[in-house]
Amino acid sequence: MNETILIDESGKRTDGRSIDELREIKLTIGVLKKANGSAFIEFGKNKIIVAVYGPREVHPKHMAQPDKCVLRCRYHMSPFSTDTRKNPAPSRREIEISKVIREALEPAVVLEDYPRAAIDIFVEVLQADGGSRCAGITAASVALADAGINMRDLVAACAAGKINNKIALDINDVEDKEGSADMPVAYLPNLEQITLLQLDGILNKSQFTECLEKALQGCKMVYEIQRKALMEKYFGNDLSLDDENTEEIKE
Amino acid sequence: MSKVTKLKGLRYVDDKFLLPGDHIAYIEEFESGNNTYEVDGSVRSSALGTGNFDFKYRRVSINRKNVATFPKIGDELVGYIEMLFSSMISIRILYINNIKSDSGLSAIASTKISDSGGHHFRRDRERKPRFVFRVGDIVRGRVFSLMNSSVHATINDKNLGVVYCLCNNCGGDTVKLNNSVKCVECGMTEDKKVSSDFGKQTLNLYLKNK
Repeated sequence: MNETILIDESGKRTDGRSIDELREIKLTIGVLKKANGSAFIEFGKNKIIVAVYGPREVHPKHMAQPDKCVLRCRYHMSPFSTDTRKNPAPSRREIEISKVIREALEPAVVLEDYPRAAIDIFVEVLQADGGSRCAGITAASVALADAGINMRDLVAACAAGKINNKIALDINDVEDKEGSADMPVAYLPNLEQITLLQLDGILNKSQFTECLEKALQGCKMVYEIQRKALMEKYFGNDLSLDDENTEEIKE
Repeated sequence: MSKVTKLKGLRYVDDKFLLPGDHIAYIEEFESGNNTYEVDGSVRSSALGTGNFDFKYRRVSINRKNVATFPKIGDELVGYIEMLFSSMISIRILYINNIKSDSGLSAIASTKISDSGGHHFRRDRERKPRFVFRVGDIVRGRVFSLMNSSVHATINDKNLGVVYCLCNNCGGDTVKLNNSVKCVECGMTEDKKVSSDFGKQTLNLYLKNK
């Protein structure tokens, strides 16, 4: 069987990127007035909006935890987000992704600070182009910080995969479908902890190591974008101030 | 050591902008203060804000830029009475420190008001305070405990208690009379633990959060 050519002779991929290149990422914070925290991410052709509500009362009440907060996540793809209409009812895939996003974010949130409360995260995919769970985690983490929720670290996520027997960073929809492996990774960059690692496909030991390293590099690049977006939103005016009135204190 | 701005005496404020997870100091240098946590010998930020280094007490905290409205000890709450018990009231929280809260959380408060709080009754030793609380009264309380993950508030202070209520008889407007309220429509009087700014607070909150 002939394999689809995803990398040409010059090393360029279907969308013109090199194998170590991320898609263009644009992150906007505070896009929804009614939500406690929100973010809109454009990760290549992915367009995802995330809203965070809470900490707030838990319904049904029996779900409340006496010692910590309940983190709930809903990942949903709009009917118009894909080529063919997607049934708006939650699919098996969406339920699974909701779970993995929640599990990727839970280690970063200080749940013990909000007992008997719930934090709701809504991840709405407006346009999908492969890697939407990673984009969703990235935006959700920023939206949580925007909501003023205590966090141990931001969560940055990025995928790597195997296409035409080469390990490539941030694979898109075509590469996901035609390629031979896909590995989404979520990472706490400051604490150096992995909170999500999935693998769809087959990799040998050396490929796995290379793929993981590449995904972590991608996460670090994504983290810089998250950091820049938050800094601009919250310290935008202060960042431009010169430090005439500051003095160096050495102890 | 990063650049810091000198304030008063031995207190300094770091001009470094911090995000959750950022390393601030090592535990040998500073203790972990508000909005920080310790992990693997390092003090890190758990909030978005600016670092506040206290060189006198060797403690570092974060002056946060945004905060989730969740009750903490010392916070002032305004809410309405949703349930009455024999000696307790349950208050549905509407405002925390004058900021609107959509959390839907509730606090519990004791209706037993000490004499020190109800100093108006000292003149009349025969009379014991028997305050009437009704479902729907708007109350201000202060959080004094978060024991067992419940919000415990007190209404035993001059500026705490009922900030607004309607007449139980006719639903008319009420005015404050010492530690009671009187209906302007039917003249009915009820003993209530009223706050010092009865009747004014609800309008102020509405205007502030409009």
